[in-house]
Amino acid sequence: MLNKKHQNKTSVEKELQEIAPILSSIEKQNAFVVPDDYFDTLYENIQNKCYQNKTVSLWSHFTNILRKPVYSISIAAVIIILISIGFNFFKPNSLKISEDKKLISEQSNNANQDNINNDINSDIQKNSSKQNQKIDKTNNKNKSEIALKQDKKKQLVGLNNHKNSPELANNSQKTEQINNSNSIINQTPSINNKKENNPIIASNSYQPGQTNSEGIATKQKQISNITNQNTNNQKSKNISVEESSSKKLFVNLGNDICSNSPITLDAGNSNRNCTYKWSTGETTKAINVNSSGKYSVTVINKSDANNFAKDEINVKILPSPIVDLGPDKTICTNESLILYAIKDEEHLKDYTYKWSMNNETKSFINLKNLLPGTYKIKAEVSGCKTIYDEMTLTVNDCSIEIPNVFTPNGDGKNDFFVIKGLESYPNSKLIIFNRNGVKVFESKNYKNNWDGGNNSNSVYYYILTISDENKTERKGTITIYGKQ
Amino acid sequence: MSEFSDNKILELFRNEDTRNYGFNLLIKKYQKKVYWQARRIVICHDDANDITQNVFIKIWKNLDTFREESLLFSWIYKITNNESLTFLKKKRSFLSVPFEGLENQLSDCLNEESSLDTNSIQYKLQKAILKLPEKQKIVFNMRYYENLTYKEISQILGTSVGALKASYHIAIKKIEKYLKEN
Repeated sequence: MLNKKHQNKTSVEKELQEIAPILSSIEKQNAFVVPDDYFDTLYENIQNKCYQNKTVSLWSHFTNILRKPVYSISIAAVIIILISIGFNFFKPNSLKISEDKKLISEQSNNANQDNINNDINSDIQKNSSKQNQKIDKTNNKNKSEIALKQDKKKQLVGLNNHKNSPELANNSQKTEQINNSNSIINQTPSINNKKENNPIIASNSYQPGQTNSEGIATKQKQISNITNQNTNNQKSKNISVEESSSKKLFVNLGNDICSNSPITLDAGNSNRNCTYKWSTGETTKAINVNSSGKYSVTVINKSDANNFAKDEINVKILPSPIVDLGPDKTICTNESLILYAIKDEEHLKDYTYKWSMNNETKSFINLKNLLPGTYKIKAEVSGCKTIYDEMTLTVNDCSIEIPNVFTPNGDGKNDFFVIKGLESYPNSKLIIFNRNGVKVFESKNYKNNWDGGNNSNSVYYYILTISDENKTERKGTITIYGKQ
Repeated sequence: MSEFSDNKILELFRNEDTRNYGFNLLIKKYQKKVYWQARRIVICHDDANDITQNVFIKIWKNLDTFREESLLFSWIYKITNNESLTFLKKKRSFLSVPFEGLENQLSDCLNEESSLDTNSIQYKLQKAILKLPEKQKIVFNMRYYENLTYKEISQILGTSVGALKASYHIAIKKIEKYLKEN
């Protein structure tokens, strides 16, 4: 279940990233608030309401059953039969009554069977027939009593039907579940959440035994098995030199290779009759390769210089990138932030980059003019493998709003000179003058706590020095009003 | 505590002795889902609260007749959806300017009851969602917030997977456009 949820989640995110880069970079947050303990009280409220309505619920259940045509027909049939029994009973011929009743009860059985056959199992039929007989036997009272029993029976039919349904329903639910699980399998495979997205490494992509340009050979003998040795953190790659029965030499270097560490190209050929000539000038059987480029080898038969084979391969040696976006950061809306995907300068241009934000493909990203909110920044760097890192960027609105009036009358509303957003700038300096230019207040670290002091209702002038990079100064007037 | 499976809950509910216990478990399991689904559609807390209670009363009354042609969770979602939409319809009928008026009302609720700063990108997203037509809004909510598959949504809404994909994509495009412009 968890796995399924996770799979769904990644498929949703993937889909989103493709069509809506801005939306996908927004951190999902619940926009709404609920009162504390709301869900506990909700739980109790629902319980109270539901369990109070219990009688109503049974009635509605009953009327629901009546609404279904199959049951209402069968119930109607039963009512008609019972009425006819009633008529029969009041006939003077009391001797024949018992025989007639048996007949009728059988009929009613049949009628029931016809009507209910699919939906109600034999239990109900037995029950209902028993009840019919019972009614027949004790049917020496007036019509109203008969009606009562009809009601009872209706309920019986209803209840039985209800008991009967779970099995059927369970089955249908099971098949649904199976369908569901199928759909999970059919879904696109999720990306591994590991840091290595794309584990196509050299050893995997190498496929030996490609047909050669001179491959007329009838019987090929593979001299060396192609193996990948991972000793000493060096990957070695064997090249198969194949010898045909017609003594034509045959060499195959396989597919191009990308590796994150130096590799050894090893012919692995013990055939003494061959000489090797590499494009690097080396003549040994195996060579070490530690830089990217095109490498080729010529294998020549010592005794027959015309019998040679040649192949080449592109080797890409690229250390796997170390992607680090650093810790999560918080900036203001007016600030910008440059993030570098990798610190390694040497191979900067050899990698390809992808940023989730706006699908940028440079090695760095310049984040500016962002709206306040939380962003998920993800960088994918591809060398031989793709590696990614994520960080969360919180953008705050650090703008400052200075009011032009406050009312220090002690009513708890707007009693202080509160500069909104000043919390982001500790150690901001505030000086206030009155109309005569006399300083009435000064604070080197204003905490939104000036209540006007002993000063009367009037206009005052302030100078606010904000402790940001530029030491911005804001000037203006503030009116004290409503002071008694 | 691990959640009980729907089957287990239904089984408990069908037994007269454990009926209330089974239903309690059902409330515990689904109340948040129902509430949040309703809240995302009607935005205002009080309305979502009413709807949630109505939904559970409906479930309580009708669980007996639940035929299990669908899964319990999609049945509950379906009820919640219908309740929420009926509610909005009712609310709209009281307004003089039906469409824009309703959007404004919901937007008021968003402003009053949201924890978000009105300048934040998350707030803009909510505004963008508000502007969507109801159907697209519902599909978007289910996919984006609840991570449901198209197949599950299709079971709930009774719409084909293809049509759902289309309306989800249109919804996303609209939101993206709105976010770009603002």
